[in-house]
Amino acid sequence: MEKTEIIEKLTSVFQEVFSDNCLVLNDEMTANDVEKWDSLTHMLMISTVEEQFGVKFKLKELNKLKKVGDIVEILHDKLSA
Amino acid sequence: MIDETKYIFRDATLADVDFLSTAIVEAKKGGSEMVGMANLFDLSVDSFRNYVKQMLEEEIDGCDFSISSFIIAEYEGKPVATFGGWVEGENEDEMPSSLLKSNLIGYVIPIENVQKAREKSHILEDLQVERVAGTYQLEYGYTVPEHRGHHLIGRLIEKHINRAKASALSVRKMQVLVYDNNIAAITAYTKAGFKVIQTLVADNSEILKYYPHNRELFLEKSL
Repeated sequence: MEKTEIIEKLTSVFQEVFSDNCLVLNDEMTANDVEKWDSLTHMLMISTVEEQFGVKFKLKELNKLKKVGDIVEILHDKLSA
Repeated sequence: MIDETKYIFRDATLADVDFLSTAIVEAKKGGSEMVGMANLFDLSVDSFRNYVKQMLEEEIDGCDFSISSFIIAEYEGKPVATFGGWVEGENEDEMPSSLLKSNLIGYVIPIENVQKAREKSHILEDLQVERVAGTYQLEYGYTVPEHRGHHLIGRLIEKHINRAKASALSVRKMQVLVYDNNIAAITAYTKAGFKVIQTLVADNSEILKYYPHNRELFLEKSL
């Protein structure tokens, strides 16, 4: 899957989980930049990403996902493998 | 008769997960019979304890559910008290403890239960504190009933102070959160030099259906 396609699909996930249809993603975006990105929505976001992209993250992988760009990169790696 | 010279203090290991999971559950009760986090996730106390055990067994450093956070007081070969503590942000990936904890919870607890917690999360909004990177955070102090009154929590805090001073980061503050009706804990923290820096009150009355209390104190000690 191309990165542009991943970002498009990830944007839909973020908009749904964080209840914000205007949310626009960028690589440097972190939990501090999204109003409803708290510990609980973080879990739901990860679970929805796994479901929508058909992937499963290892715990060690999850702990490296600090910003949106990290999620895009790992999805690109997993979906290109 | 307890001989106080027989207490041994050591870092927790994987062999302590049963004791630690029980200690975390008991500490979460804060002197009541309610385990707020179990209620939040719509889990029985036993299920919650089992999930805590699974999280500890993942051996992720740097948060509330990290084995490496805990120091154990042992008496005649058995763990009798513990206290957890970590330097915020000092872990392999320099992640905030809140996200490490979220990842652990999301990894072991079924998504249906996470969704149930999400539905109730608004009631907790007023009880959130910001854990600043580079501060030393204490969580889950617990002593088994028969060993209370021997200053084990105070001695465990001293061990954590030594850990904080040995950190590669320049740790200047130690912080702890406690229900404001947990007089025994507040007394122990005050004796150790902690001062209240913030009072958190959850105005939503619904919280008392799930949590033992709606007021917390955030205490801090300069190192």
